[in-house]
Amino acid sequence: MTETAPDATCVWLYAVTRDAPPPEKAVPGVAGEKVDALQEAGLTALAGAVPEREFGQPAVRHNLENLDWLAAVARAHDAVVRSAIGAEAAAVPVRLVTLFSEERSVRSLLRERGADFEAALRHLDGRTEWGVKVFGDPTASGESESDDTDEVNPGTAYLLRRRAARAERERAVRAATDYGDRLHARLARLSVADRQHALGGAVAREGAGTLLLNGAYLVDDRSFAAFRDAVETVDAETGDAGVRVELTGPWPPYSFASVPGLTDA
Amino acid sequence: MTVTGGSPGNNAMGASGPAPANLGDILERVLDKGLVIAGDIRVNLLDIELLTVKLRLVIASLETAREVGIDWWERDPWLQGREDDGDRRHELEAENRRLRQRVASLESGEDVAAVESGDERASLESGAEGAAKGARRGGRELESARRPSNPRRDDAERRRDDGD
Repeated sequence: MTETAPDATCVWLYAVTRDAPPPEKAVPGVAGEKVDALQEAGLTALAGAVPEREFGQPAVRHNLENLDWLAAVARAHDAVVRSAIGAEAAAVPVRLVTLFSEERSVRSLLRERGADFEAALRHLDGRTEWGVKVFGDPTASGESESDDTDEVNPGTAYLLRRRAARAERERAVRAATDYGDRLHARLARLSVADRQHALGGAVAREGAGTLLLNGAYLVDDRSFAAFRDAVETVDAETGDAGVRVELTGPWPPYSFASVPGLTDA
Repeated sequence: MTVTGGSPGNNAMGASGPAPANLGDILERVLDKGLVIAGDIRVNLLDIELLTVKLRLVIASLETAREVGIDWWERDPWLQGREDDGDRRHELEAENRRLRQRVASLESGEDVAAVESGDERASLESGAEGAAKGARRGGRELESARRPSNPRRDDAERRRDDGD
């Protein structure tokens, strides 16, 4: 690796849009830098010059492992992407850590792939990404103990109870998964595009329960009311069953930012 | 229903309220989603061994990570699909197989040592390339240590050695 000058910079790309956001919405970038609107071929790239010693290789690799650093950078990146999205203006958000050696490379990207970006922006116009998470506790529902095991000896009775409990748990998990699938199908019909993110069995927030659905939906802004109603209805229907529905957003269309030929499948 | 983020009545997100507060939700999107540009770029998150980064992150700040609910990547197929993690997965699979066989043989009262030694050699052969040198050396040591337990093979080798 060649030595870089202490003040060397590289170019961090945030999003591609048509028009630069108005100046009053100017948001500082991941390095606190002023974000530039690079205009080329009818498109605007939001990009900022960031110090090589913090964001270049190998520093960025190391920094990514620092949760505090990553959190600050992720929030700053997200904030700049959001600033590019207005009531009318769509933007294609770019994944974190997409660095160019110089502005010229970003400009040539816009020139060469202008038509692809245009198509992606048209797909996103007037649409917003929303996230829906459904948490449930499959073990919460009726683990009733039956007493018809009196006849057999205590050891067998114990094993029978264990088997019944396990069967009940499996049934509950299956039902919960089916439920997540059904809700997803329902919300997918009300949206333009949908993605199911990894459930991962995780999202371990305190008392959150099992994640049954982690969906992202690209919703036309005109049909958002119907989408929200559907989510609310589900929440009301399932309120007693230990199921919790969480609507997140509005999100920049991270889950729907694909530009054919530019996107790594 | 919980609603996080800006006011859902107002979709123009720049103008509306605060950004969604949950760091896990943000990371899930900015790290794994968003446009991936291939080509004339200097560094891309894809160039960085993301799985390693994320796992270390979780281990290094487990408490914080739990608080924000970001251990979703541990079983993320996008991350699991990366080639450079293949070797580690193979190792785990081999170990899993080995342990299953061991359990099976213990349950059926078979000679555990026989099962173990046979499989150890197989897993060393398919082991990670980086560790191959050391592993092979280790393998040889293991084999020489095992020899006395196999007198017939020992004899045959001795005879061959004598012939030389």
